[in-house]
Amino acid sequence: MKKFVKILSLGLFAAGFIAAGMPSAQENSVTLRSLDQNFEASGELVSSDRDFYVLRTIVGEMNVPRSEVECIGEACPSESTEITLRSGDGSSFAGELLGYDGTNYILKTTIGVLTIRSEFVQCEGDACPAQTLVAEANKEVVLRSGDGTFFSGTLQDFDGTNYILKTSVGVLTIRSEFVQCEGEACPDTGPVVARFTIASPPDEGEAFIGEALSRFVREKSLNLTRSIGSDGNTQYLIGAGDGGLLADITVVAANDVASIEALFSNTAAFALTREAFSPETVAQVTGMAVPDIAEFLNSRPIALDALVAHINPENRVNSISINEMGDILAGRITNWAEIGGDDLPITVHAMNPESNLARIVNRDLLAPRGLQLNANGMIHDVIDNLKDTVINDPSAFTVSYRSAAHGTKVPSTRNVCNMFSSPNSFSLQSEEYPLTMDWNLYTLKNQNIPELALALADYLVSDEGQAAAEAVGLVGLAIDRQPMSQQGERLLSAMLAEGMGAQSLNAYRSYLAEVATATRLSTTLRFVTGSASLDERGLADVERISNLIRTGGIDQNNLVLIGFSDSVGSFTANVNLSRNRAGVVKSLLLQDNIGRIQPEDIQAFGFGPVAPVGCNTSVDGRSLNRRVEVWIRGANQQALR
Amino acid sequence: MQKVKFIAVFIFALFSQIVNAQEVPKIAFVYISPADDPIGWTHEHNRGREEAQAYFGDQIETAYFENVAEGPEGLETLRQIAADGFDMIFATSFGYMNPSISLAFENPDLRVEHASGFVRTDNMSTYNVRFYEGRVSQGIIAGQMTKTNKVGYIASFPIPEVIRGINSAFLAARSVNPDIEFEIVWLNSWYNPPAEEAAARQLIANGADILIQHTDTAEPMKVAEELGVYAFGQASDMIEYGPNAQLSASVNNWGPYYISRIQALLDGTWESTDTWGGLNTDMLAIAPFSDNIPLRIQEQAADAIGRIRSGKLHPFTGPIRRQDGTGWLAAGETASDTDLLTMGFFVEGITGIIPQ
Repeated sequence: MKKFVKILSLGLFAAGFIAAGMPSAQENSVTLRSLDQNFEASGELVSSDRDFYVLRTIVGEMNVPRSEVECIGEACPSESTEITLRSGDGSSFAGELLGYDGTNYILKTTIGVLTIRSEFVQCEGDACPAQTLVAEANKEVVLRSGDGTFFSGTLQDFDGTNYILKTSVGVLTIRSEFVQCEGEACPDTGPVVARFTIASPPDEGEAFIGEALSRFVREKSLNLTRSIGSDGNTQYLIGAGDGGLLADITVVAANDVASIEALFSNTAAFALTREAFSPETVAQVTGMAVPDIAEFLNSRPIALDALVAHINPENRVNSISINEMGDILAGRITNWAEIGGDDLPITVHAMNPESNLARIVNRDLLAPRGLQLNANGMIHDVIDNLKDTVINDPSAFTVSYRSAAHGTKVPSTRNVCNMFSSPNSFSLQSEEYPLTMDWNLYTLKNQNIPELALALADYLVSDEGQAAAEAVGLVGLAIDRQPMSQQGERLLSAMLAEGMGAQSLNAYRSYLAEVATATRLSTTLRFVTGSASLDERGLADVERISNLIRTGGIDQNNLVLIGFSDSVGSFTANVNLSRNRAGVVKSLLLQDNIGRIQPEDIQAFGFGPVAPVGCNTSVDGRSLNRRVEVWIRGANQQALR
Repeated sequence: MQKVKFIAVFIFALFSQIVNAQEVPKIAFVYISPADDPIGWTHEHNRGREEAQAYFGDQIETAYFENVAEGPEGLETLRQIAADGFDMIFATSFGYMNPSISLAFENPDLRVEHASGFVRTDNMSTYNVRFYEGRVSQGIIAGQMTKTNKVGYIASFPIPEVIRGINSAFLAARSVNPDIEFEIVWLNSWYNPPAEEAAARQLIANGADILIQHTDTAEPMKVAEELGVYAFGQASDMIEYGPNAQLSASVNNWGPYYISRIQALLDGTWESTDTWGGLNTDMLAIAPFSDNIPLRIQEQAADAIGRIRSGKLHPFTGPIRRQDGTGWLAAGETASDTDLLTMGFFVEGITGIIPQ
């Protein structure tokens, strides 16, 4: 339209000139005259399609909208036989329809006569043969409501919620829930298709979603079709048995920051991330001050992973401390002999600096100590190559995700207080492994999310969904159990870690006496700093424990809740504080399970700062230590003293 | 005698290119990928060219042009070929449609043959193969060779061409195994080695023990060989990539068509036609059956091929319902070419969705 305004003004200035000055002998010469007679141009008709004439005049070529002018001259396309044939691959052919034999269109175009197979194209235009026209459905419908009222008219639109109906008295907008539509033109009000996008980490993330969707559809007796787009993104189509589409889910591979950006730009409904997001990161993405992520985002902890050292299976080193990891990456430790291995130079492998992995490694292992990646390190672009090199090279060292460890050796680690921890699934779940990563599923607050999408999100955190996480090498959040006999590593750490006074030693003995015959649950509840409120993960874990109670998982046994604190403050105060925290969890569980479990079935203790799992010298370590452990013990078993 | 006649035709037609009575017709083949691809779409066109050249000997001269871009970029190459005095051009990829049309109009004396297209002019023909006919024997074999009752199908684009193949294979498989299930993966590409490999692995992980592909690389066959399942070759005999895995293959066999069209050129009887040939014209060939297939099943499959070839069996013969349960073909009714060319739905029993 804008174009036309320009042409029109040009036309007004030049109309007389063009009309007079154009040679009329030209073979294709026509005159275009606007309906209000204000514009007239003559020239050679170069081509025309449904919307425009292209006219070559002595001042140049112009596109003139067909709706605004009439064409005068023998070369004018005959209005009635003008059609456009469009094919699914994007090509289209416009011209005059010379014939149609039931199979082929004979089309006269500006370049020549074409014979076109009718099955491949849609015909558009008045001259289209009747049977090939997209059937103009009978739009007459009747909308009938339960109370007997009905409206009849022409259905103009249906937006999923409202019918727009043109009746004899005027156009009505009618809520669809209140009426039944009768007539050929009624929209298919079958299940509404849930269309949404999930931004996810590549590899394990995509595999997790694929695996979870397969299990989800199997459980619901639906079916799943994968379609890989030319952009590499996977589209998952969930269908009913009759081929009806229920959900159309696109998974876009993205690193964590890009995922959150996708959420805020509304290009993704869900962001699956390798880590919980700090308010700073969200602030960076949104450009707003974010005191609390929960103001903007709903998050659900969804699985666990960890940063771990990967070494060759033949390597004799069994434990590498966190500081040593940094030192090796930075080139401060260059030979395996320096950390108890063979006399062999260390070859460092790392991912390219743009990758999510490099960002986390730098943030957690290098930057805090002012280190930089050794320039001699070998840089890889594909995470699988890291693993493959380590498997084949006895001297290799890399830090990568635990989930990426297929066939590499993963040594245990030690934090700066020399607490040992192996990155096994239990220590990830209880957050005792220091470099644990919480996979989260984020949605924007107050966002309309399709019902099926919510059902899927619920499924991901259910025990069945968590099994999908396990299947792709992540650690699920479903409650795991470990008997006292397997808790050696952390008891060892607790003893080695910090000097113990007589008070501590007594408390420690009491703790061991309570749990000597008990089994520990991986669920370990942690508190928001300086408060007796559970954090997000803690609340979800209480729900998991309640579920265990409901499904008979506790059976005739007692739950033993044992609170701990950090080492800041007096010992006695800390014992009280930790006992209060255990008490908070007890009352939450009793509230949640009225009639299912009695107060005497849950015992709460507090042992203050003993048996730390993190360094009390660091903020993160202290927050790890402020916790309530959950144990299960036979109902009649007394503490061993 | 033949030669005299053909020269006479050419002189009569005032072909400007023919400056000398000794010259023979020059025929160009235009390929989307390298002519020496060991298998696949272009390989088969080039094999057809070689067959035609061998058949006609020094009566004709053929040349090929490889890696020619589709769309407008390809037009310059096509114009150059025409300017070089070629009399006939086989444009062997769908994407050459628009440039071929332009070329045909610009050179009214040139014969243009466009593979898999749907637009003709007075001097431009179209030709394609009824690939779905080859799916029948695949379905009969797969339906009985599977132990998991699950066939993995690697599909390219959700277009009638591909949907037809899936339906054809499924109907045949279900006729011998009512419990058969197809898992279909759409790759939205004809040629994507890593995606084809990944899809094959995923399908096998999901329980498929037979792969059928409608894509152009041997990756699925290689994966089948590696993981000890069966597969069918596509476009070419892929036995070299799956000596144990390949059960059979649909082989695009353009030679007979090229010979007949060049013969028409030599005879002066060439005209613009629309050819959709299959087993009956040998434009579709079936690779030998694997020894792993029990003889009874081999005979069953060979019988179906024979009956399709002779016109006694149509792969789409009613009663057939659509996936949504509505009726499509009544008992004994067969699908028309129009039905086949516009097929946009799955038949009853296939689970899965056709992406929009």
